[in-house]
Amino acid sequence: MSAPVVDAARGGSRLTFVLAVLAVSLFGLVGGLPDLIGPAIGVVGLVLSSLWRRRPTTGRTFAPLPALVALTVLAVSAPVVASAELLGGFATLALLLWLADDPARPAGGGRRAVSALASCGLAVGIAWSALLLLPSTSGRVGVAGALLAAVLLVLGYLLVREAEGRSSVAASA
Amino acid sequence: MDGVNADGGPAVGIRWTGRAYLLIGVGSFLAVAAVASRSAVPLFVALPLLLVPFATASFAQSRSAQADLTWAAGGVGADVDVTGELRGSFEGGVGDLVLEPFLPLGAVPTAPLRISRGREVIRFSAGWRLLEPTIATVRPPRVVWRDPLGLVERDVGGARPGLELGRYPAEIHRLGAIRLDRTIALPGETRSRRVGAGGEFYGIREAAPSEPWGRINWRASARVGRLLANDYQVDLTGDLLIVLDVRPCSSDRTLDARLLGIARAGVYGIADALFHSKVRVGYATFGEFVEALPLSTGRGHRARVLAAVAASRLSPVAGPAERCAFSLKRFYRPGLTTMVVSSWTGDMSEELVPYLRRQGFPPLLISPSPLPMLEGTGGLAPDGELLARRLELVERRARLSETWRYAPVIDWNDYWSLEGLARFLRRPARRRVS
Repeated sequence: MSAPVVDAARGGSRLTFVLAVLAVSLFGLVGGLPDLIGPAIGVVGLVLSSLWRRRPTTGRTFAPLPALVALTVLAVSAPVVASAELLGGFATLALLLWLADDPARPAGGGRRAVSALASCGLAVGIAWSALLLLPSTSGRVGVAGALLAAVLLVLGYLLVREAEGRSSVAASA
Repeated sequence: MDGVNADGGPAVGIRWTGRAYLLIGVGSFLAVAAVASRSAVPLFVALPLLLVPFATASFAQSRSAQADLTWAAGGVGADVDVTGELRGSFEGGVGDLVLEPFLPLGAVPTAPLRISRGREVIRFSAGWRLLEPTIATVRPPRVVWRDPLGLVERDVGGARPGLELGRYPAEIHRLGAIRLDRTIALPGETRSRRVGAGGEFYGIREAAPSEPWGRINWRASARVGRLLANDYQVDLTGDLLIVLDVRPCSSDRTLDARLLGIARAGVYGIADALFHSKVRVGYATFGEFVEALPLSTGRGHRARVLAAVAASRLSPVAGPAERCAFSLKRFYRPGLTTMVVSSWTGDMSEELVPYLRRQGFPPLLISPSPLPMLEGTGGLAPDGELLARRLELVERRARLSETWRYAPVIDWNDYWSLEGLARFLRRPARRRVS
């Protein structure tokens, strides 16, 4: 049994939730699903995630799962148009911003996470600009492949760096 | 010290939480789906999901944070009110520092962990109720820096000492006012006064050639021009040996450990109270072998005894009772009043008191009862539970009555009261006290 935690600075803003709902709804509207099914899937995913996050259990770390599943469904079914690509990236960024604004954590989480989210937004912007400048289908796939390879390289590099850091800590201990 | 983070330096090592792996997993799936479906839309969704854990990890690596903890325990009896604060340097503010909930073993929360944050300080308070008397060092709470997205975390360095928590029955505080010589069953334990090396200041005398430097009164010596030494009046109201039985007595090690915890808290309180009345106290534990501290008094010895009591742990092997009785003769003179604190749940504990008696140590047995702990653990219906409790009580009474042939026995049933011991010390009679 553990004691509940009452943090006087606890916060969380509805603004980020509204922003995420708007972004996901727009992404759903330009997606390939008929009528309003797209926005409905996105909103339901976000609401489920929000409810999950409010539960005071240890499993709340996986609270974004329903929203991520909804985003995945929308992304896979979306047509290959520039507006869908841009809104997809924007919806993901809005979701991350909402994630940073956790009501169980001190208020201002979104503001503190801006520096990390800005680099992701920059990457999305660069990728989208590159796609606009290379309008052919093969060019798009080429950019996609290059981006995937770059991400995997960064991932591998950081994982190796972290493993080295851990081993040096263990050696010094 | 157990549970102390005293490295003082910034902690390193970044851990990713399950949420980071979730984002990376979903992002990887979307990236693969993008390539497979020749569509860039999933890739645009995947890109932030894949990048953000590494971006936050990079920021976490560059942030320095250090937090020193000061905390204290208040409250009365079983209720513990804990207040404390974390001070230090937090790059980026205290908003991302997480103080994880903490609770010592054998306590239940009575108030939530309340946290308030200043610019460079985090204050917190918590309320617990202890289920049993306890002498323990509470491990300091874990403090981590966690990014706002909840993707990475790292431990925060700094000095965070454990919290010394000592709660024992209130009656023990009154033991110091009781003349211990009334408890002595054998001759030789009479109140006496003598001059010696420790105790209250008594007077000044000429220093002997072999006088220890610590006993020289330098101010007086300078005044008269020759070496003078201090004498102290040792006020003895009786000597007492406390023997803590740390042998495993039952097959249930958890039960033994809990009973030993209660016994330890009782011994701690009794020794502390008796030192206040300048009683010479010896302390011994008996597990497989006897470990003893000699009879003495004074602040130094008090600190030694209390530290030894707090450090007493359950022995993995139980030694024979006669070994305890014989070994004690090597450390203490026979005839010394001996207070045995034993959890008394097995047959071999019964042998300890007769052996001590036969070796010349008049014992008094304090026995924390396991029955309150066993209450409701049998999985019986309420009627059956009641009957089982009565039968266990009858059996325990029968065992204790056998021991009464050799020594007075204090049956410690209510863990938060040692009124039985206090009453016995006021009117020591060979009769049952519970």
